[in-house]
Amino acid sequence: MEQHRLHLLVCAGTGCVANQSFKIKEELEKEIQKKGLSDEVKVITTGCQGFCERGPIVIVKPGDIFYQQVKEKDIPLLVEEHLLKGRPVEKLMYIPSKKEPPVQKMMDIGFFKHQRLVVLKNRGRLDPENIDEYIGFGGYQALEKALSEMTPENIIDQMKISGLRGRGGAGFPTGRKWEFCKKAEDPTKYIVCNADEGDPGAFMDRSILESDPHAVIEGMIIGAYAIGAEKGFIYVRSEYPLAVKRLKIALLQAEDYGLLGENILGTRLNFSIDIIQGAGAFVCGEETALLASVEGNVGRPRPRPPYPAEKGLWGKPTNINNVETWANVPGIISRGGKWFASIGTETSKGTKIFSLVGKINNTGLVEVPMGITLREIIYDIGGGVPNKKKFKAVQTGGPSGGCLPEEMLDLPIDYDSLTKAGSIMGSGGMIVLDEDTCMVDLTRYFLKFTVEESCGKCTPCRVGTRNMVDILDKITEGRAVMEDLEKLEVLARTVKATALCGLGQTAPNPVLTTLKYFRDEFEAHILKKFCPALVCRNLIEFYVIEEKCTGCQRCVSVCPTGAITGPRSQPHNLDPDKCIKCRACYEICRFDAIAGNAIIIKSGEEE
Amino acid sequence: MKITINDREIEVKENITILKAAEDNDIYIPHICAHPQLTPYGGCRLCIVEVDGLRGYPTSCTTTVKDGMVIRTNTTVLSEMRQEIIQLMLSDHPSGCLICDEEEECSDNQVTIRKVGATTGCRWCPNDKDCELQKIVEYLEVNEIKFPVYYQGFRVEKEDPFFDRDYNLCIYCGRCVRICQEHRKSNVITMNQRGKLTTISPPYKMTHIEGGCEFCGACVSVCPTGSNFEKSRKWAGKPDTYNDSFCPLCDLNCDVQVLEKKKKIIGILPPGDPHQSGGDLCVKGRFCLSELVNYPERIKLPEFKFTEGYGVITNSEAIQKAADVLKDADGERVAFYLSPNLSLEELATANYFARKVLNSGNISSSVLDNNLIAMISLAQESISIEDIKSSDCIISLFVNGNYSYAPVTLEVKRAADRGVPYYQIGWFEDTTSRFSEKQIVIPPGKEKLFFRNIVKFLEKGSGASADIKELVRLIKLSPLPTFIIGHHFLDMTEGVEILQSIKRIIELTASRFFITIPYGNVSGLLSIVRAKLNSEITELCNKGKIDILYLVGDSPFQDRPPVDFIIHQSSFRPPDKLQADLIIPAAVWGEISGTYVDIHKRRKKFSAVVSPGEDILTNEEIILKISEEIGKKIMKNIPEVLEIFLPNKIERKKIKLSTPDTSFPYMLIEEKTHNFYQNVSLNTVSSGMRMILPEETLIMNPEDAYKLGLKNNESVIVESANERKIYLLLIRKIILPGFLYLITTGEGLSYESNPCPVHIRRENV
Repeated sequence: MEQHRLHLLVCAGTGCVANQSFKIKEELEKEIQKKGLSDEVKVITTGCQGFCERGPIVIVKPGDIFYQQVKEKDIPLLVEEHLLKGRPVEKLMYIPSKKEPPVQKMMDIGFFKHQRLVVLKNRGRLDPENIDEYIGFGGYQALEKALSEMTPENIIDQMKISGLRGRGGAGFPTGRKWEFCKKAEDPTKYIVCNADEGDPGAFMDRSILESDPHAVIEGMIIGAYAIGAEKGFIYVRSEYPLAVKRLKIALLQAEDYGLLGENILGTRLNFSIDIIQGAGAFVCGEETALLASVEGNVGRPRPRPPYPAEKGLWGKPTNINNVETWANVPGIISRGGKWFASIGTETSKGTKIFSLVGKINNTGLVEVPMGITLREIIYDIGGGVPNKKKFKAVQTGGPSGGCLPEEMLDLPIDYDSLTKAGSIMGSGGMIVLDEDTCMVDLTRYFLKFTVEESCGKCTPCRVGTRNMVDILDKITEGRAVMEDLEKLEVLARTVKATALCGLGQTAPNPVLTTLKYFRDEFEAHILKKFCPALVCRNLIEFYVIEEKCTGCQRCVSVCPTGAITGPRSQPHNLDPDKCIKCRACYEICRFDAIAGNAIIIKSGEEE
Repeated sequence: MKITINDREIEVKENITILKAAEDNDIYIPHICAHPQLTPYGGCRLCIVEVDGLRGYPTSCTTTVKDGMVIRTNTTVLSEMRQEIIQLMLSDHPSGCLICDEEEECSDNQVTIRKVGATTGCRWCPNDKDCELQKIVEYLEVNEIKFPVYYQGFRVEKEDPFFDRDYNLCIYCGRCVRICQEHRKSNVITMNQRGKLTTISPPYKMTHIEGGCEFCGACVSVCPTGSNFEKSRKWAGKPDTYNDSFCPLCDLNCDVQVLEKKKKIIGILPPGDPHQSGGDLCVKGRFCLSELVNYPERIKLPEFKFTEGYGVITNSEAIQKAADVLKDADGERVAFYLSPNLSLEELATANYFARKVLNSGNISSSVLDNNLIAMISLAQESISIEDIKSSDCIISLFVNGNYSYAPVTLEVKRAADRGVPYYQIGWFEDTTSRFSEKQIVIPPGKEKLFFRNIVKFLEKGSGASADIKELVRLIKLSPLPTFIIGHHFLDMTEGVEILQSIKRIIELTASRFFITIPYGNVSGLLSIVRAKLNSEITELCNKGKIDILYLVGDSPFQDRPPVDFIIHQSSFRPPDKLQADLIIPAAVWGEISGTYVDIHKRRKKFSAVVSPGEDILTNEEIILKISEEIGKKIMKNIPEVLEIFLPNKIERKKIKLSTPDTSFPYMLIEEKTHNFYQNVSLNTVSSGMRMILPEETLIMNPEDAYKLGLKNNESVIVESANERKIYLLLIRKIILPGFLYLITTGEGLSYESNPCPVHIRRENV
């Protein structure tokens, strides 16, 4: 067996891959070869480390030295200094802020320190395309335990004790769901993994599939044993080619080892898994639409009851769970439901993965125990809002969720507390917004998404969401009256109450929560034609402050319509009739001009 | 079980929806997408109710009742939400008139419906005053639509025959798509795209004809708005009366309801609720009957061929002339032709007149030939359509289910859906083809041999191809095998011989069969009349042995035979070349009462819905009057028990059928048009029929057309060993590759045999 003194783990999640991490691996290996270190240093690619803001990421083990934003040109230095001479390279390390020193070890970095990796425990420490590494880290032991020591009833008991709730967003207790399916009379049953992950900005499931696909597969096999199914499907959105590739490899490897197929591990369990790819419809994340799509029909939801546990694929009892839910199963089975229940809150057990994005310093994927507060995630892990901007709100749950303002920052994250506050947990999207985000515009963005993705079957969603967008358009364009706001609210409530499926029922959530917490912004847009965040084009005007303008002509060179004119060294003029509000002049003055503050945006002014 | 609705305890059956339970107890819950013939959809969201124990507002059309359920259907909250939902629906729908204050006065002042290019409100909509949406709006008391109007601006689709589609009026209830998929199982239309971009049409931008639409009109019948509407009565408005009747066009004689307005027949619907019945009709009964009755070129006044030319005369003059010619005629030298569309009463009258008054035994019908006799003989033991349901396997033989025999094809499709194996033998791709386990194409030209081989295999166990073996195995494994025998045997040169083999096969395998005969009352004709074969009478004519021809609704000749006098009595004009001497107009179906005998040997009566034109008498009246003129009374006698009398077959010269070869690689399948009523083809009266099944047009499969580089509407030369004709080409999937389909209107076959090997090429002009 090979023994290397150092391992270099190069992150190969989609984000870092897009940042050339495969090239980095190649170059590292070349350089290591050049320096004659091939027998001592091994380079492997792993799944997503989660700290996507700082990719490409290279971790050196042992020692857990964390290098970020590694470029090709840094490699000779890295190999020379750290690998040969044993001196970690400071300039490649993470620096929390200008005043603080670089942080050497991964677990000392705020982003990682406060996380608790349960589902993602293998991320970044193994090659997802090698089943041996998964097994080496204790993989498939839960399956072994389940098949040799437990009955299906035992397993379902443990699932119920664990308190695991569906991670896809609805939060239905998984143990009970499995029980319903198991109790169904029809002997033919199916297991489905929902990997459609349609929320814009969400990439939790993608990460799990790219970093640790075997965790999901193991979970599904255990589920098949507990429920009594012989066939499973993983429905992955086709926009995830890397995840599909890694899944395919993982499935083949598992089959090779007798972990899938007939007589798994020598028992009477037969179970096989097929991958079905989606075709670009957000609505196919809804379970009945997903099942319709697997059957080859168009992805349109159908009324429930009957629920899939009773009548699912081809009329048979079907248990469908989210990727993250499945990935939690092996842990629960090997360490016991009680252990899982010890993490989290009274009603929400375990951990949850969030994709922390938006106006935040440390963008990336985080796994935290339930019960952690929003403040801790945003500030301790996320590093707060960049550029000295003021925090405004955090949006959770994607287009089905809501925005929570500063007052709610100490809210513990748990299914029920978020719902009570007016938002939802959703699949784990968490978008941080600062003072430069217009809440009305944000709401309109989410509603436009829903309008496009609506399947069109039921009247409230098909027509209602479109009308909501129309009203929001009116508000952002300064054409609305207060009556429109009432109309919007009544419409939102009606759509929420009467839509056929989860898409329609949660589509009005952005409207209802922003109205609850940021009603003043809506009223400002309507009554004063004022956009506080200075975003809505029809309501803002750009001005050059003559006294501050040095005439450097930076803005003149970038203005696409020639709205700004003026000779060198003379204060420039901005013609509002030609201005298309593209912000190019504003940005360039702030960041790359002499004056730095000569152009301002105003809103709500009388003509 | 007991449930409570609005504080009222009621007893309900198991396994029904809340909506149905409420309906059964006279509690109305507004709904649009729910439909009695379809599975629950849950799309419109109007039927929402409150149920204790269920969260939210479940739809009553999708929720099954459970013992002890407590339901509320009309709380304030529900009303408010329904108001909001209907307003959303109406914001997408041109609702100009629905909430207008002037609505009542406006419709009082408008005498007629307004015919427009684009519908912007009720007064300009074909559904005005007969619209489900209007009814619901009234019930919900909507008096404002607070959402802005969103007119999608679709082009009104008028290119397809029989019905127009204006999807600006569509409210996406999905009934048209579902009735086509679930009830008719044709799967022609679907919802394309999603969300606000949803459109309803065949997929992949196919036209309705390309998509395999049978034009059965089910989608038109169930559309709650004016979106889908028949062209023929689009601007007629709400019918005055709905009358029960049946269709006279083929021997299935399906029940229909006839819509009458202002003393005119404006359209046909399937029986039942006019807005709810998808129906099991075919395009002919559904759409062509009203075109037939209202055909503008029907004969309106009698005409006589004077030496100078045709001149209009009165009915009494016409009757006088007929009487003059007939009263002293030798019965042996008079011949009668009766249409298989005549009612029993008309047939009995004509029969008595011919036999007893004129002492003539020369009575026939243009359809009576050896092939038909063989078919009818076999048909005596046909099972009923109902019986098809209980089959364990179904084999169809040369059935062309495109545009005909809908009740039969529906039973086949439904059986196949239930898992009954279905084999299709023939040349056609029709609505049942995709349900077949296998389509067997018999080697062209070897049809007679194929069936003989099956008989041989059954009797002796030898000489069978793989197909035959498979077929026989299937039949033997089924306790109740059923053959469906199509009407192509009427046209095949070896039809009689093949039918004999088939009869033998049925005997040997103890199978049952169902036969389709495309003539409305031919059973009636053969039970009333002791008829001779058409060829017998034609021979007499050609030998100069007939002086007077009396044609009652029938048209056996295209050209004038060598007779002295021809009386043509019908609703429709005779062919020009016939040069009929006396033309007398008669009333048509819909204007008369009468009895037919359908394929199940049931007598069915229909009553007149409208009266015929001023100067038009019924067939019975005309013959009665002529007889009176002659001085004899008619005793119309319809026996209690009807027994079919089959004329003897006539020996014909055997024609040797050839098989295709390199010189003549395609097999031409001819079909003498069977889509006629009396002496007019449906293609003559209906432009829609001309579009979907044109006559004298060569129909070819796209694969073959592609190989030969031929395109639609090109002129092609179709050449056999003995014949050479030119036709326009139409490329359709309804005929299989290797075969060409030709519907002819002439007297006999156009080519030397049927089928006939031919060669085809583009006509180089």
